[in-house]
Amino acid sequence: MKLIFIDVHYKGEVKLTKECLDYLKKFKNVGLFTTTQFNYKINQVVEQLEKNGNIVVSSQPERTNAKFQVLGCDMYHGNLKLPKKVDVFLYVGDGRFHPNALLFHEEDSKTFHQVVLFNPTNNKTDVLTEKDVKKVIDRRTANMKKFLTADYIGVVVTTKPGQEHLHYVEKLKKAFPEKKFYPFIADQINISEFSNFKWIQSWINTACPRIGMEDAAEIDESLLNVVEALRLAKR
Amino acid sequence: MKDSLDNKDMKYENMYDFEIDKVIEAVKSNNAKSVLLQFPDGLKHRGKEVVDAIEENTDCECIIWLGNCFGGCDIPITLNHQIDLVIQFGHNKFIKNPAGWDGGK
Repeated sequence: MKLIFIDVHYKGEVKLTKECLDYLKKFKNVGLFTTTQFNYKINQVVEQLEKNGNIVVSSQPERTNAKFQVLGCDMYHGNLKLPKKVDVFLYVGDGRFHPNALLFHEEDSKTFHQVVLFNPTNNKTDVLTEKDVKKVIDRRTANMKKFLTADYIGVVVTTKPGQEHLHYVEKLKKAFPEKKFYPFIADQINISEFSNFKWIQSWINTACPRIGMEDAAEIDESLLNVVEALRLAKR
Repeated sequence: MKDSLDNKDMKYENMYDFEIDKVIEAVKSNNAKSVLLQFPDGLKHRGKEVVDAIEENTDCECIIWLGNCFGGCDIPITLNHQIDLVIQFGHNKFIKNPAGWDGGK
């Protein structure tokens, strides 16, 4: 089986509006990111920002194929590999999945920077702040406490390429020798399955880290990403 | 060869470039007889146009992935021996693809 990717480029104009540029005037270093649909036209945005007096900061994050491209899984500090500090992020694209990754990434920073959204499909500008992800982060804090007091832990592993993280089970056993870990494997995680295993007191997700964020905030069971669980062991 | 997706008016529905010529060429050059098409949720409604364009211009059979496709990591490896070519729309090469996959080169 061979595999090819088609970027599905956006064919319309990718040009910041005056409203967006005026808002960005009060910031110096702008962390610029986008998705593969808009990336091939991002140089126009770079030029606009430079004329606006901003310094454009960007990178090629860990799992991406190009500079300026951000993935939903680039949500931990260090994933973005930024060459210098930013005063604000500018996300060019539609939807909330990718800009939320930038917000989660900011949780590790001392100062929580805003994420300005510019959507080229309707030329609308929006601003996301810490409060836009507060519910998810609060729930994750609660899930951390539940994990620490739980004895029987389910570890969820998927077979997707790049997510076959069965090795984390051994790491967790070493980090928390007093707990009993039960590995679970699936092609795709169906979180409604959790209710069939009532004897699991807390779940650990080793797949896409966004499952342990927005998805975890929507279910009754305690679900935590493996990165956060292992961080708790180091404290 | 007509790229019916790209020649329509520039209204929102047609603002995205499915690169049908490139897709058809990839099907032909790989001599693919079975092709699996994966779309993220926001592009699934365009599936019919893509399948019709490929099948009109090649002798392959297209199958559409009925499920999520969140990114370049979301590849149906269980179909490895049943599908000649997977075409994933809306995403780019994911760096952690396992060895042996050509990852869109």
